[in-house]
Amino acid sequence: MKLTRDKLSALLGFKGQNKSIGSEKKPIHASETPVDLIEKEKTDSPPQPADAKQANEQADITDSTQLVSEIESASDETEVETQEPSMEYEDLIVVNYTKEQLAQSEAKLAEFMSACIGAYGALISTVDGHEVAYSLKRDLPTHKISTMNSSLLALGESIAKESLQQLCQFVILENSDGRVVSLRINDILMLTCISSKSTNLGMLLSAGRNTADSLAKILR
Amino acid sequence: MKQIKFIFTGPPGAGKTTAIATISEFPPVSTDVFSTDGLAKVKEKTTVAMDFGQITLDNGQKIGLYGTPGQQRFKFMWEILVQGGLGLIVLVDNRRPEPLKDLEAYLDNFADFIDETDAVIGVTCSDIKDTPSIDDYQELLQKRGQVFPTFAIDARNKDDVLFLLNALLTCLELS
Ligand SMILES: Nc1nc2c(ncn2[C@@H]2O[C@H](COP(=O)(O)OP(=O)(O)OP(=O)(O)O)[C@@H](O)[C@H]2O)c(=O)[nH]1
Ligand SMILES: [Mg+2]
Repeated sequence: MKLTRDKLSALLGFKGQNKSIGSEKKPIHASETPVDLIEKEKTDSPPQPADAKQANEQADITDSTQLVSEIESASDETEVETQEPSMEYEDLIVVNYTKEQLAQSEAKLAEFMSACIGAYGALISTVDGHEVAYSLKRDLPTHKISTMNSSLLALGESIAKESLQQLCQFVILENSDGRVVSLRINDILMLTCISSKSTNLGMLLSAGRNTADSLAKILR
Repeated sequence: MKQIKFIFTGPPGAGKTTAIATISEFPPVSTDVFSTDGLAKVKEKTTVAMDFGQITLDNGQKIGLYGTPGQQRFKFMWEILVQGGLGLIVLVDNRRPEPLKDLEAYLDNFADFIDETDAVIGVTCSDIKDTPSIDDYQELLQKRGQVFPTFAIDARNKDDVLFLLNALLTCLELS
């Protein structure tokens, strides 16, 4: 073993604590306040709707299709000034698409949204949780959704493997008033479709699949 | 016997997934996908949900080994993964520009968990960059009023990772 001296000196610093495997131990949560070194926490511009009902009422108020890369390039200047000295791997997004590719993708997302009446969100993101483009009919925390669904898809794929099943085609969240469906576009991109129940599951899955296939051709 | 749960955390590329794979008695469950940001220059894949492995001690005690994603954007996974955990292993990548700041960031983010449990620190990749030294880490901890065993380890080396695990078990008086 290496650096034994270091290890021993550190060992001398052991604290003698009386700790037991408390079966009564309460669940412990990571600290509330994030400390921001690794990556700037993105504050999602629209706050997450606290109340689903309220969100329902707000449906169809906002219909925006956004290209994340454009928004981010617009705010580049201010960001650079506040950056820590390149601590964050995220500073450098290596997956770059042309404006044309992104415009075509945007059109596909809009097509999906109009094909599924119930759909109120469609997001393209990288499988490691970065936003690429999205189309929304309601305010949604797109950064958060992109990141969380990348975890979910990876877990789904991992569970499929552990269950001795092949390709994970969709991860489906069935909720009382809607569905969230995630699927791969290719090795590095994924699509998340968010819909109320006014579009049925079959329709949502097939429109989602078709959209992902078209996007795979556009975003090569 | 109840399974003990230990959590590995630390910056992307520090070796959490590697360390768990190095000592797990079964091929660990992994959720690594292609990196699409600057991390891709360091390594091809990154953990986006969790790693899960297991090791059984001589006394039959099973330890579940859970690895977190490194990036702050996956903080929601950190909060899920620490639940029911009994100890934290912070791995710090000495190659990164400011490893001491990295360490502070994880100690702060996991402060509540560490308060309830305990932590050990493994500094990886000191074969590539040998500063800061272990003394520098100890000094930082002292300034923060914290005492955690801190070692230079190679996450690819089974003895090194087991040593770290033993240190944590000793701290928790579980060994
Ligand atoms: N040279 C050297 N390489 C190391 C050492 N420890 C780990 N590595 C390598 O560093 C890399 C660590 O990668 P991972 O295990 O995926 O890191 P991780 O902490 O799980 O990263 P994320 O999942 O992205 O947060 C691997 O390629 C290891 O082989 C070390 O002490 N020296
Ligand atoms: Mg990992």
